[in-house]
Amino acid sequence: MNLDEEILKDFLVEAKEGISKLEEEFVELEKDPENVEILKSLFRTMHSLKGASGFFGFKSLESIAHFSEDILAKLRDGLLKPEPEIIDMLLQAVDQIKYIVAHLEEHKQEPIDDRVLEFIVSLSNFTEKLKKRIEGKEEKKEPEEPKIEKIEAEKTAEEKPEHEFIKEEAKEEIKEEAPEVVATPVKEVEKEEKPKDKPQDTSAVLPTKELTETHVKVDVHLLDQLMNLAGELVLARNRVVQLASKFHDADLQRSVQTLSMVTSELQEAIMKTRMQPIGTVFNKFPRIVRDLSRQLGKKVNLKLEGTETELDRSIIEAIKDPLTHLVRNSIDHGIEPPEERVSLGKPEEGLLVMRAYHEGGQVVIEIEDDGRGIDVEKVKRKAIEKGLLDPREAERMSEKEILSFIFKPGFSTAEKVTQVSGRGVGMDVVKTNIEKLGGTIELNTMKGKGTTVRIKIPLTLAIVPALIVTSQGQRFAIPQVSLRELVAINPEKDLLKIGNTDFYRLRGEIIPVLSLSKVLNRPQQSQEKNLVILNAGDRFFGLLVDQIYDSEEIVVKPLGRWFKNIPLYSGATIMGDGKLALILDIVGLMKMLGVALEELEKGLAEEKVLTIEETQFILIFEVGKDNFAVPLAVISRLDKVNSDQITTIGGKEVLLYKGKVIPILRLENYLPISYPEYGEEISVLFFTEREKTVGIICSRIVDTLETTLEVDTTIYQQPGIIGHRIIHDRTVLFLDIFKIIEMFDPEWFVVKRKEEEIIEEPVRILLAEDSPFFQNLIKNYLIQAGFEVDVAENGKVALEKLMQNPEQYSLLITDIEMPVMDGFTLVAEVRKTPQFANLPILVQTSLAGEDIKKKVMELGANAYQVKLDREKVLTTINELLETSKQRISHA
Amino acid sequence: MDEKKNALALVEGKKGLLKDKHLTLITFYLGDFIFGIPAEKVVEINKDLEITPVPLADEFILGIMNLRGHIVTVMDLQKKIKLQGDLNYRLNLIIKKDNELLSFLVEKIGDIMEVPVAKLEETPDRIEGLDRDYIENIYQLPDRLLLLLNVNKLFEN
Repeated sequence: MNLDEEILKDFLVEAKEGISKLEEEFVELEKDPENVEILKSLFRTMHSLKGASGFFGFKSLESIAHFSEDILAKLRDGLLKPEPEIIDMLLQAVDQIKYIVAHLEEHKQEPIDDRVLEFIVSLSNFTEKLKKRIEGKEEKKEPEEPKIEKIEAEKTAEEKPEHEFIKEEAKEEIKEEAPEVVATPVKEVEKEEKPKDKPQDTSAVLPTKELTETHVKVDVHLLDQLMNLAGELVLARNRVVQLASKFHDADLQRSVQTLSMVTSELQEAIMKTRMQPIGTVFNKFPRIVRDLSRQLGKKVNLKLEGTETELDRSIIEAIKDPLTHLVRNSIDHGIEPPEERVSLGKPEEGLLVMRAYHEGGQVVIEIEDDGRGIDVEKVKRKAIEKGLLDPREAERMSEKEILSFIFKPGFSTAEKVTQVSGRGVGMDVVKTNIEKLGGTIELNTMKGKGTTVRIKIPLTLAIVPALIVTSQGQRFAIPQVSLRELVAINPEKDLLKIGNTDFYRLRGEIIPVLSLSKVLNRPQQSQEKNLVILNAGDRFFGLLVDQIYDSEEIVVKPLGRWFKNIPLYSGATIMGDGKLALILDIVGLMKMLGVALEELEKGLAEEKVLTIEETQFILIFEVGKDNFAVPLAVISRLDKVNSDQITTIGGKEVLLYKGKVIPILRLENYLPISYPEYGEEISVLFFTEREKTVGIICSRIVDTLETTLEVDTTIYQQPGIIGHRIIHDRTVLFLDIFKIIEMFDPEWFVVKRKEEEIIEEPVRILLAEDSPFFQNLIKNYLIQAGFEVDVAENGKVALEKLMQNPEQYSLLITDIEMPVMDGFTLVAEVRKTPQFANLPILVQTSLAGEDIKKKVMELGANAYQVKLDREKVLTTINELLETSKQRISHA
Repeated sequence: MDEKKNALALVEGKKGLLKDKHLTLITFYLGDFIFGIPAEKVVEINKDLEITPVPLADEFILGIMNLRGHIVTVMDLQKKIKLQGDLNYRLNLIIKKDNELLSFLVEKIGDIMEVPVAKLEETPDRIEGLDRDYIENIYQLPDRLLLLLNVNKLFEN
């Protein structure tokens, strides 16, 4: 079914609902003619019918609805009294609408039928007459009116049958009904009797079409109950299947098989009843967008994508309002008026895309516009104005943090409160509503280019795909949304134990590991050998479990109130065999991991954090009495060796490790520290780059902690040390590992590059980076690689430096999260200046993420790398310079 | 069990008439005590349902179980009301409050009793062998005391 048909189907369902509502309410109205509420409701129903048919271009339907609406408006406003003849006309209109809708359902187009046209004409005349009557009311005396009305009504009523009779010759079926019509108006005018039975009579004017109901409204609770029962049926079936297999009876087997199949199908069908395409919500938007854009004098082209994406009914219901709000926002605040767009060089018509797709067991809904984007400065000003934000604090905040204020209660950027948005329902409500559904909302905006709001919500609140794992024989379910990958490991060998936390190295990234049995506080008997890699937001961690089973669709059931204080479970589910499994809450699990780290962070909180927080796992180790730290990510392996594994070969100290000879580096040889005494057991940190490995010897591994890389660079100014910081009352020196290794082996980092480059003039790179730690580290490894480096502590300074010396820099490297001006803005600003249109830009970040990558590339960056991956950063720089050189020579 | 259900149904029918004056209680035995619980709070009495332990839960929680597709929390009533002695659990007594199901294990189900509300007495300050806070009222049976369990209190966290 294509989209149009889908929309049409929805329209028909809605129209049918509307019709039955109209019929009911007219009847009610006749009983209680003074009830304004009914009139209002009738008006609304008719109005939306008019709007929808207008949208589809169903002219007759629209006209009938239009005139009816007109009359209803007058009734509602008290200009007319709901006299029987008026109601009668309106009911006739409903019958006509019914006829057209039925025709639409069958033929997908409006009927070409004179009777309909004639009715429209008479309805139009009737409306005119009413209008005159209202006008006349002011001049003439009231008593006269009814009379005229009655005569008129008689006329119209009489006219009709005449036409009918002509038609009858062609169509026999109406014959019988038609005479009744003649009788009705007379009866009605003469006696003014109870109008209750009129609907049937008047409907006879047209070949009556009973609208076949293709849809039935069912209470969701009933569906829930059905689903529960189906689940139970499945369990009972399973038991029967088991029992039946004991008897070798062919008949029984066959029956059981049928039972089995029917049960499965039944369950599937019931599950399906709850699922609906998101189109049911999306398809309401063409209308909303059309109305809004007209109202606001804007031109908007709405594109709907992925309308077939299925979602649980309850979620569909719940996202309707938040989506409407977001769309209103986009049109009201986002998309510019046509003239403004033209002057900006944008197409006159704004583009609004509503997109839905499945991603990892979740549904992603995006609302994207190509409007003016969100003005971060304005948001900042507003936040300060509203007292939500301290001005000094604001200076240090990144774009993303400032944008988050949009979701704060009582915040609205609209300069004047328009009728459309800004009605006291802010983005905070949208956010709360989405979060209530277990979803997340995210804003991406680019000034001048547009805004994308991304909502992620679970497919259903009830059914989720989950991985079943065991711990000590008990099953647990892990929602697949959080699942990244599964690794079989040998915990003895593959885990690094530092402090009390285990770590696993997954393709170069160090991730913390939890043991499920430990987390659950159960005695450890078996060894957990399966590692489930999970993520919650940007953070990854591993969960060790005993066994991994299949993935299953599970039905989430809430746990009782007695478990609310345990953050580890998000519910329970009933497995195929009728037994229960607890569903693990990944965010809760991650918090278990965070407890230790948080405490450490708390200790550090007193020190003022001047840089935007970028946390890294750092490894703290001792050499003699001194404490050192390196980012964990640069260390490829940690191990303990026996002192007799270290020997001197050819004047060089080496370690015999796993059949390899690895050179040994003693920090005491390069740094002014006291010579330590090593015991039997020696800890070694392995540093590997391009197949070369060196072992750094230390007395003891102290701990790891996740922390910002903020250091004091003032006291220890010597090669190999970036700075120091007090951690746990101890001075910890942050190593510049690249420098140390260069001191150990000056040839280590020398690659082919130098030979080619020496002839050319030095290449100068501008590095925008706020953290002193990274400033030094990156600067040093760039200098090692033969570059000249200038450092700017934020985007603003970087931009100033560029402007002052436009010719000087061959490349810009920038961090993302920086105070004053962040990397996003910097890249955008640089690209805005024609002079720098071709300046290669490399964006660096401490955490990898596709989203950010996509965004910076869209903004005009040329490459994106993780800071600590020195090798890749250098390769990328060389590639960028190469391309840029070629471009220049071409020009 | 069917008998039980029939009896319950019968009681339900009668309840309308006696509502003002009488309270219908389901009684059960735990240790040396006989407890009563208002019949309208009881969903059903069941046998041999498998309990799934919930690690890290409070010690008075035995776990959860599956009652025809509903998750029921199973409480160790003995621990919750600090009842002393060795007990031999056999039956699940499942009760309901605001759509939440709670089961606890009892040794034996007793009679269904109609108790005149006027005859209910205040709980004494101390009851030997259990926490009196969970007892709402007491009722004097010919030979012993019937303790009316405070269901709301059980559902409190």
